[in-house]
Amino acid sequence: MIRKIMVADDESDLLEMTLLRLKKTGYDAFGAEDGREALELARQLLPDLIILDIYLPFIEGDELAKIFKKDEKLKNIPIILISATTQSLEKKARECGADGFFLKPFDPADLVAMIRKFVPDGA
Amino acid sequence: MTGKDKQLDAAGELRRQAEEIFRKKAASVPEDLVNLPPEETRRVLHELRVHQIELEMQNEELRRSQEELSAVRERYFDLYNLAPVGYFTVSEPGLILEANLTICNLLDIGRGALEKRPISQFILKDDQDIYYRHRKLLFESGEPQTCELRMMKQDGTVFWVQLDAVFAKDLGGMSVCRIVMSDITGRKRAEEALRESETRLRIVADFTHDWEFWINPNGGFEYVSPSVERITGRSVSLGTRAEEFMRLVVHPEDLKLVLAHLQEQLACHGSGDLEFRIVRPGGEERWLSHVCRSVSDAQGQFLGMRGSNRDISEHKKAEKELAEVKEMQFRTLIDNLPSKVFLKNRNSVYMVCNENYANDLGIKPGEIDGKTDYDFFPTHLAEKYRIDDKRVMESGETENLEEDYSTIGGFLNNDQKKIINTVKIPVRDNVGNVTGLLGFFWDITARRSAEELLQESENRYRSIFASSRDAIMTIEPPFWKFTSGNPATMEMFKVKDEAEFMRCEPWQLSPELQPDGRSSAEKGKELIEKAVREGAQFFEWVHKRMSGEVFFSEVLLSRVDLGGKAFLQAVVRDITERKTVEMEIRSTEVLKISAESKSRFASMVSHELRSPLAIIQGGIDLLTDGLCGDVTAEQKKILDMSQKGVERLGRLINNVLDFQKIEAGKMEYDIRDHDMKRTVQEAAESLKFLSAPKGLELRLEFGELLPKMKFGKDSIIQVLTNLVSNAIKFTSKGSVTISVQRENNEMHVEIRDTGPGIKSEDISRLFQPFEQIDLEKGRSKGGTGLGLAISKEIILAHGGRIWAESEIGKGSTFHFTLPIQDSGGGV
Repeated sequence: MIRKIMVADDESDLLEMTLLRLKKTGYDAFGAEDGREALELARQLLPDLIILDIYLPFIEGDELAKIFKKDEKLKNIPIILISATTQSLEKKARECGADGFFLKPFDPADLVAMIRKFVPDGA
Repeated sequence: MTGKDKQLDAAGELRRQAEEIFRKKAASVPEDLVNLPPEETRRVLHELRVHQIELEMQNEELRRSQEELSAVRERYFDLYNLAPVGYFTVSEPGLILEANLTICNLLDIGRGALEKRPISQFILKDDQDIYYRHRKLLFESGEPQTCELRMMKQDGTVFWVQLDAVFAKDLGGMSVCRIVMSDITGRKRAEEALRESETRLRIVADFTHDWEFWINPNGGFEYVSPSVERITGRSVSLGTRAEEFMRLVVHPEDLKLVLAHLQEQLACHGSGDLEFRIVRPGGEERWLSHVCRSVSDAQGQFLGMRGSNRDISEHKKAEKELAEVKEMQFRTLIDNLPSKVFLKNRNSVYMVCNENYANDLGIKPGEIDGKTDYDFFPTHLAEKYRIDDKRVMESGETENLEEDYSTIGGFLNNDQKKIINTVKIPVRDNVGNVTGLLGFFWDITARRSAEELLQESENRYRSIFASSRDAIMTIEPPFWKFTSGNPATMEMFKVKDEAEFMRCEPWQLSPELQPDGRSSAEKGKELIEKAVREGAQFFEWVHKRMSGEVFFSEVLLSRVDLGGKAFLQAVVRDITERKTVEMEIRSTEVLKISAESKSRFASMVSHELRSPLAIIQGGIDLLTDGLCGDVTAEQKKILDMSQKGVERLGRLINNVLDFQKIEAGKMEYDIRDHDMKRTVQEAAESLKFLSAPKGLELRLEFGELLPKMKFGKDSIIQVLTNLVSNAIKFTSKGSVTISVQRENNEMHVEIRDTGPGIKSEDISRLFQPFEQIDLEKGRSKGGTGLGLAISKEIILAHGGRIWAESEIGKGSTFHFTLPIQDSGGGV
């Protein structure tokens, strides 16, 4: 079964690039461009892993992570927090219960390596 | 010695004298006596002779006695006739038997006409009864009689006499009456006048409105005028003790006073006056004014007290009303005075104050009675006020004082301290003794402050004038010459002193022409005229110092009118300096602004740079990894170069952020116990990927006994990475050595390379941000220009030092030290 990964990022180009990378790697990746969309998709599609940018319209990434971690159906889904801002990234990641974090720009290979730790690719 | 003895003595004396005389004559006794027996004869003869002489002497004595007696009789006769009282002898039937001359004179009648006439003829008919009654009594009882009656002279004049009569028998054994008659007309007239006067007075007293009285020495009423009833509403009978009556009528509050007065007057026989109240039976109160005087007779015998009590109730009432009106007027006056007013007694105890003062003290005016300054003022002030009071009261002279004023609780309007002007006036009683003090005072804080402000202002302007960096000078008409200049003027124009400055012509202090090509003299004159006409002129000007140096200035030329004289004041500022300062200020402001916004700016930049960088990175990776199709060798090379650019940009962003954090003091170092040797080894390990491709040897040297010590491991690795990667970067062959030694309380780390070395003039700039980029061409190898600056900040933040040494052609050595704390244990 192909593993589903949801990526939420308001930078549409970066989102598309990340999704392309994940799809090429063999994941079923889908994206959301704001917090509300991310929340809705996650509840509908129940991904195997979630990548959240901290800055998201409507609901910020770390807030979203807190919501997921309290949701019975979603709380076991690994979450990776990404941000272009070093400021308190680690702290925020810890506080919202994320399972990992990356500072942009990140080496996509490193990201894939981390994803594999949580979700072996379905291929 | 009795009378008889005297007589015997006298007789004895006569005999003795007679015998002595005979003895003297005996010598001449004739011889015929010889017939007798001579002895006998001689004796008889002697006896006879002595006797004869004795008789002669007695004879002489008798004659002398008779003469004396006659003189005495004459004297008595004169006395009888010329005595001031009359003597006459009257027979039992009343006929005058004899009378002396005085009687004749009194009755104005001759002695002959008087004798054998009845005495009753000379007595006034009305008084003859008195005479007869007394004559009868005299002859019946034989007792002496005295009476007073009126007698009549021959011409009908009546006069008063006192007759004192005694019973006697005359030579013939007939009963007679001897009478002494004294003229008492004078006394009687006085008595009568007195009686008349007394009656008149009594009438006056009886009808007076005042309560007149006479108290006898025993304290009983001798006389009380009927008005006592009208005044007191009570009657008093004569003889009533005054004290008793007074107890009945006098107001209880005044009784003590009245009784004391009464007793004193009766005891001391003085005089006095008094005002007291009585209470009438209905309870009505009346005021009485009392005067009294002791009365004594001519012999000084005390007769009692004569006094008068006047009802002064109406007067008192009017007086009280007047006093009330006056009091009200006075009260209104003092309460409306802008000054504070108070009255103190001799002991500086307040009696009265006005409303204005009471307000200050936070009390009502009535509440001040009995208070002292200690109740209202801080001790030091209260003491001062009382010392002043004492001095004024003792000297009796009014004083005008300027003093501090503040109450214990502060004033209602919260002004803590004021300055007041006080006038203290001694208050005297009727006899001139100082009994207290009247004070007026008013607030002069504002006035004082105004004075102080003026003084302050003057000082300020004086000091501005003296210490201003601007040249301040005055220029006066009609020739517009300098009349004064401050020290800055001398300094600015390089003039020796003010005297020399005042000798200068204004044109001497400007170049011939101003920058616009106009003559300084002409343009200056124009500006002066404009300033005089229109007021202050502000302009830029080119001045010339006496040294010849020309400088730009700003001039404020103002017209000043002072004491009817107009002159100009010029303030000249050398703007060469000001412009420099202005530029400094401007750049400082830019720095300040950037410092404030740097954090926000850096944060924004990092985000905005990283996101697109992440897109590029993602794209390069997709292509490089062949996920979008095969990549040719050439394409791969291009992608690698792009990748390096992305990495460098990422490092730059990180360094910029780090540096900004350090500068803002926001860098957190996470300082804990670490092992320096291991840290260096770790850093070196991660850098081998740089040294190995260039064939450089990365050597590590460790001293012995390196202790554990406190430092931020990540940041020290960052420093080591910076320094070592630089060394590797700039060294093409040879080695890079990291040496770690303990030196006393410091850990000393050296990074030596065998590179080209750094020019000494560049070494000082090495640790400045972005300096590396400007170094010699070819050295700009992917550095951000911030590495050394960040390293320096990290080392300084740890309390260490960082520096570089270099010799061109031989290589460079970068040093840093970190302090070793005592808590660190050995390895």
